[in-house]
Amino acid sequence: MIVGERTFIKNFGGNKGLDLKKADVASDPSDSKLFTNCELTTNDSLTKRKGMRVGGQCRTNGQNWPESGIFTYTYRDSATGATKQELIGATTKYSTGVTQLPGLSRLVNGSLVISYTGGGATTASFSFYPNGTTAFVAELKANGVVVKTVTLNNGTAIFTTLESLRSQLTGVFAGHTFAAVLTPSAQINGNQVGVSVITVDAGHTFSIGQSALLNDSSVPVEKSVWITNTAATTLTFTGNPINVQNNEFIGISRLNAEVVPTTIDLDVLVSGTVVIEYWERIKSSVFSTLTNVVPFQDTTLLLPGFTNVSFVNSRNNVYFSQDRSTSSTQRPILKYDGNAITLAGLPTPILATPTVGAGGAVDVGTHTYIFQYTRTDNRGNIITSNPSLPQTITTTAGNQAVSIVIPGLAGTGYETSCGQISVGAGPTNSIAFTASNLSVGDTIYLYDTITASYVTRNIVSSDSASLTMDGAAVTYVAGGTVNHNFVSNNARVAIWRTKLGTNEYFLVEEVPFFSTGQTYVDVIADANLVTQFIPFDDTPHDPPPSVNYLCEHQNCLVGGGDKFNPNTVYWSLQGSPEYFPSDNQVDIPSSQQGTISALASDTDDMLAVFKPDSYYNLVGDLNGGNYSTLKVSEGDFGCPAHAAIQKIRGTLIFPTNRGFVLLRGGQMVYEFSDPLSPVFTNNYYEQNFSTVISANDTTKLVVLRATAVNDFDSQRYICHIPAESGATGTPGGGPGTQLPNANSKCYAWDYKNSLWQEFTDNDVTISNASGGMAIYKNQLYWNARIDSGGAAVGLLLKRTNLGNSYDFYSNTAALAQDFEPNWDNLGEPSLEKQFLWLKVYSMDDFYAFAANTLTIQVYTNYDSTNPAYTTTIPYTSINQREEVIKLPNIKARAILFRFSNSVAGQRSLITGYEYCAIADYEREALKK
Amino acid sequence: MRRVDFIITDARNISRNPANPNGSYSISDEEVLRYINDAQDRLQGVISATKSMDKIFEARTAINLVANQENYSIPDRVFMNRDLSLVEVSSDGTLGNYVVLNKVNFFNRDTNTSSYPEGYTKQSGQIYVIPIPSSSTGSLRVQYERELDDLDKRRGTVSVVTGLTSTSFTSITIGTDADETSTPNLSTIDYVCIVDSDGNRKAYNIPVGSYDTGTNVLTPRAGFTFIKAGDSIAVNDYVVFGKWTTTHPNSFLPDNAERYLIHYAAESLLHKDSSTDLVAQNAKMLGIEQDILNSMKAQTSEVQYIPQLNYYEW
Repeated sequence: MIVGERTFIKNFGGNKGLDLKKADVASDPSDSKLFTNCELTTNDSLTKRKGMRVGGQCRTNGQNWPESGIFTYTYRDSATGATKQELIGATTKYSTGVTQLPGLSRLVNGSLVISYTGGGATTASFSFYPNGTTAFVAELKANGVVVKTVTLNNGTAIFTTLESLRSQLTGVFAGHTFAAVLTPSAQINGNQVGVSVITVDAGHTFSIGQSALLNDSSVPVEKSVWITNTAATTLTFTGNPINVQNNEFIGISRLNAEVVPTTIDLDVLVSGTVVIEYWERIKSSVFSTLTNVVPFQDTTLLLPGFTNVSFVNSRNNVYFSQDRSTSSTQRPILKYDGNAITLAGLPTPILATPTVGAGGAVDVGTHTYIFQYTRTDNRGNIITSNPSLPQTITTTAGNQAVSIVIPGLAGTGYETSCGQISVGAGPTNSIAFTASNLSVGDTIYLYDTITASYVTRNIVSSDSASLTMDGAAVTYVAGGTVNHNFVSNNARVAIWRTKLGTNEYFLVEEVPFFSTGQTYVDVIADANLVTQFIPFDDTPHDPPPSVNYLCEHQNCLVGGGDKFNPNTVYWSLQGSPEYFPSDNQVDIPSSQQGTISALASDTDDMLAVFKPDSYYNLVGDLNGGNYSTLKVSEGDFGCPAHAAIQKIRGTLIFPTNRGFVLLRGGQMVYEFSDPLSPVFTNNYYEQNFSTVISANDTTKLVVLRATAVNDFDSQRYICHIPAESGATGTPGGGPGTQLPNANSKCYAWDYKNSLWQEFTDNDVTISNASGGMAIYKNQLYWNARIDSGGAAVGLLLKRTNLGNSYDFYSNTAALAQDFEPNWDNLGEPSLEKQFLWLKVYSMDDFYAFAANTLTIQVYTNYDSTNPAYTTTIPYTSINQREEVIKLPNIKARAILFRFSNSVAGQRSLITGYEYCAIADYEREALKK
Repeated sequence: MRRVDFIITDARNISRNPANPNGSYSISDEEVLRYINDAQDRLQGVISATKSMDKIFEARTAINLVANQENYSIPDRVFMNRDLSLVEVSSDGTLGNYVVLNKVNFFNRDTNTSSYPEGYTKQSGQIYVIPIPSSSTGSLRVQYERELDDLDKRRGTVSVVTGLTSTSFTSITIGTDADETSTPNLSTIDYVCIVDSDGNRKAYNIPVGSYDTGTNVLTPRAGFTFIKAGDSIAVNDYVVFGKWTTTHPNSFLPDNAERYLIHYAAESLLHKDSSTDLVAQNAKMLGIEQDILNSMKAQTSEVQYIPQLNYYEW
C-alpha cells in the first residue's frame, strides 16, 4: 500500500535493456519496451548510437559492387612487419548479364583535393554534410562565408557524379577562386576502338597498379581494369581490348558524388585533401580478367539457400568459400593473398610416361620421375601439390635426355599467370613476351643465365607483351628446351627423379609454370642432383573441397555445408589451410534434412557444427584422429546463419530460428534472448525454391541470411536479421531476391552492460546489413543489399565517427533515439496513483555536450499509443545536470515514460530519471 | 493589486508548479486563472454576505426611460443578478430631480402608463417599473452591488484599430503577442474585452466574428455595438478573453485580498496534486479568509447614525 509521497529513482547501472517478453502488468521498469538506437556511455548514461552513411562506392550505373559479404583481411606486411588490414567484399550476383561481375573488391583510398587559388581570403574551407532530410550538401566558404553550395542526393542512385561535383567546385565564386582535383581520374581523348592502351588528356591522376572504372562502350558496360602502365597521355591496362568514347571519364570520377565522406570545415586555403574510400576490383585467376566470368555460383542465383560468402584469415591470406547450395559443379575454397584471387591449394598432377631422346646427360639406366606443382604466394607461403604418380623410364647411351610433359592449368582457377619470353636479352629489367598475362603486383619467377639460377622479381609495369621489373638486372634467353624462357607468377613445377640404384627422389629442377602446358627435357646427370625429396608422411596435399562455410579450429581450416555432402565436415592439415587430406573428414550423425548451415570453433577441442535446427559437437583432436561426434540437439536449437556467429569473450553468440543463444564448452544458454522471444516466436521463414514470397511471409525473419559483427569498440554484438521481399519491395518479386524490407530487425547485445538494444534506421531499404558487417580499422562498416531496378545490389555504409553532431544521422536523415522503460504500477496495478514530478539527470563527465532537445512522452494505464502528456527539455548547456518536469495531475494506475530524440544531428543524454508519486484517494477501488 | 500574471506566478511558486524546462506548464495558466476567479467569487460572496454598511462593491448607473417600456436591463454585471440597493427616478432626467422608487412586490405590478413610475420590482436581473412611463424624458438611476470582473491574462496588444466610432469599430489588429495557442485562444474564443495597461475597462463583451491567424485581425460579430457609452479602443490596449474580464483585480477589492487570491489558487493546485502540504495550505487560506471577513465585519471608526430613509425629515 502506498502511503504518503514516494520517489522512485531509475538509472542505467541496473537497466536490463530491451525486454519485449514481459506483459505490461508484470513488467519491471528496469526493463525497456524501447531501447532503440541507444547506447550506454562509459558512465552508464544513455545516449544515441552513431549512425551509418553511404560510402565506399555508392552506386554506379550497371556496376555491381560487393553485396554478398564483407570481411576485414588482416595480414602482416613482410616488408615492414606491420599488421595491416584490407576491407574486402564479395560480389556473387550474376543474374542480369555481364554488367554484374562476380568477384572480390577491396576498399582503397582515392582523394578529392580542393585548393583556394585566388581572391584574397584569409580562410577558406570545404564541407560535406547531410542536410537532415534527403541529401548531402557540398559547401565552399571564404572568410567564413558560404560562397558555393552544391546539393546532392542520398547516394543510392546516380544523380551527380564525383566529376560533376569536382567541376562545380572549380571556378570563381563571389570573387573567390577554388580548384578541385580527383585521384585517380582521367578523361578519354577521342573515340577509341579495340584498345588496351587508352589515350587520355594530359593531367590524368592515375598510377600504375590502380584499378580504373570505365565504360566499355562496345557492350556497353561499366567495368574495372587494372592500370599496368602509364604515360602522360596513355593508360595501359590488362585484359581484353575495349571501346571507349571521347570525353568520358575513367576512375573515381564515375562514382556518385555522395561517396565523399562527411567533412566539416576542412582548411583548403592552401589545399585540403578529402580521402575517398572506394571499392577496387581484386585481380583474379578464377575470374580471369574480369571479363571471362566464372561466377561464385549458378547464374540462376536466385537461390533460396543463398548466403553470404564465408571468409577466414589464415597464414596471412584470406580463404573464402563458394556457394554450392544447388550446383553439382565443384566450387572449392578460394584464397586471396593480397595480390589476386586463386583457388586454394594445388591439384595433384598427372604424369604421362616420359620419353627418351637423343643427347642429354641423364645417367644410363632406369629412373623414376615424379613432379609437383608448387607456388609461393604473395605472402610468401609455399604451397605444393601432391606429387604425381611415378613414371619409370630407362635411358640408353646417347639417348640420355628425358622429356616430361607437364599439363597446364589454364582455366582451372589456379594461379596461371605467365609469359613466354620472345627475345633473349640482358642484363636488363625489361622483358618482351610473345604473350603474357602477368601484371603489376605479380612476383615473377624466371631463370637468370648470368647467375645460372632462378630469381624472383616484382613487376613495376606491364602490358600484354612486356614488363619491367624491380631489383638487379637479369639476363634471360628465349627458346631452349628446359623452360628457361618461361616466366610465371611464382608458380613452379618441381621435377624429381631417382638416381641410379636408389629409391629416393632428387630435385631435377624447379622451372616456371606455363599455363597451357609445357614439356621439360631432363639432361642432368645424377651427380648434379642434390636436393632430396621429403615424402609427405601420409599427409597428402589434397586440394580443398567444395564447402559453403569455413572457420578456423585447432589451427586448421574447417569447412562444411556442401549440399552434395550435407553432413560432411572437412579440415585441413594443422597450419596448412590449403591441404585437405582425403581422410580429414567426418560425417556428423545427423538425422535432419538439409546441409550443415554453420560451423564455429567452440573451445580448443570442440567444434560446433550446426544445421538450422540441430547442433552437433565434434570433440577431440581432428588431425590426430582422436575425436568423436556428439549429437547434442536435433529439431531444437541450431544455427541457420553462419555469417552471424561471433565469438566474444570466449563464448559463441548466434541467432537461431528461436532467438539468440550462447554456446560455450558445448553448453548452450537457450534463455539468452528470452527478452526478445516475441520477435522469434513462429516468425522465421525458410524460402522454397521457385516459390514466390507471399505477403504473409514478408514479415517473417530469414534467419539464414542474418549477419553479425563484434563491435568491440562499443562492446556490442550487432546482428541484422532480414525479412525479405521481392526486388520491387513487394511480394511477387521472385524467390530469393534477398532484399531486406522494413520488417527486418537489427539487435545488439551490449556485453559490457548485459542488455539488448534495437537498431533501426531511417530507411532499412538503404541502411541494412544483409551484405555483411565488419570492423575495419576500428570503424564499423555495413554492407547493404538494396534494390536496383529489380536486382539486389550492394551499398557500403560506414558508421560516422567524427566526434561531432554529424555522427548522429541515418545517412542524410534523422536517427531516432527512443528509450522507453517498461510500465511501472508501483506494485499495485489496479490502484490509482498520482504522479507529480519527473526529474531527468544528465551528468556524464565524459560526454561531449551539444545542444539537443529531449522529448518526453508520458503514457498511462497501459495505453502506450496515446500519450497523456508530452513535453520537451531543451538542453543548451552542459550545466543542465538536473531538470525537473512537473507532471500535469496524472492520476494513473501505471505510468510509462518515453524519452526520445529524433532530431537530425542531435543526441540526448540521460544519466537517470526519478519520479514522484503519491497515493490517490480511492484505495479501496480496483479500477480498470 | 498587481496584474493577474504575477498572482499566477505566486500561486505556482507556493504550490510548486513552476514552468517546465521548455517553458511550458503542466498545469495551464487557464486552470490557475480558474482558481483565482473562484477565489475572487468566493471572497465577494462571503464579504457581500456580511452586509457591511460599507458596501465596497457598490456601483451605480443611469438608464433612460422609454415610453411604454416596462422592463429595463442594467448595462453592467449585477452581483448574483439581484443585489440592487437603490433605484431612483428623475422625471425629466435631470440630476436634481431623482426620487427614490419604492420596491414593491411583483404582484403589485401595474401595466397602466403614467408620467413617471412610482415603484419597481425586479426579475431575472431586470427592473420592472410601476406604472409604465408614458414618455421617454425621464431616467432611472440604479445603485447595485457589482460583481467583480473576471481575471484573465493579456492575450495580445492592439496594434491597429479600424472604423472606430463612439458606438462600434470595424476591426482590430493584434500584435505578435497574439495568443493563438492556448485553450481557448483567439481563434476559439467567443468574446473578448479590451483593457488598458492598468486593467481599466476600455470596451467590454465584444463578440468575436472572426479572427485571421495570418494577419492577426479580429473582426467583431456583425451588428456589434459597444455595450456602454464611453467604451472605446486605442492602440496599445490589451485584449483579454471572455465577458467582463480584465487583467487586474477590480479596485473594489482591497489590496489586502490579493494574498487570498494567491493562497486560494495555491491551495487548489496542491489539492489537485494530492500534496501532503494541502492541509497546511488550506488552513492558511481559511485563516486569510477569516481575517478579511473579520475586517469587513468590523465597524469603522466613523460615527454612524441609525439609517433613515428620509433622514432630513428628522
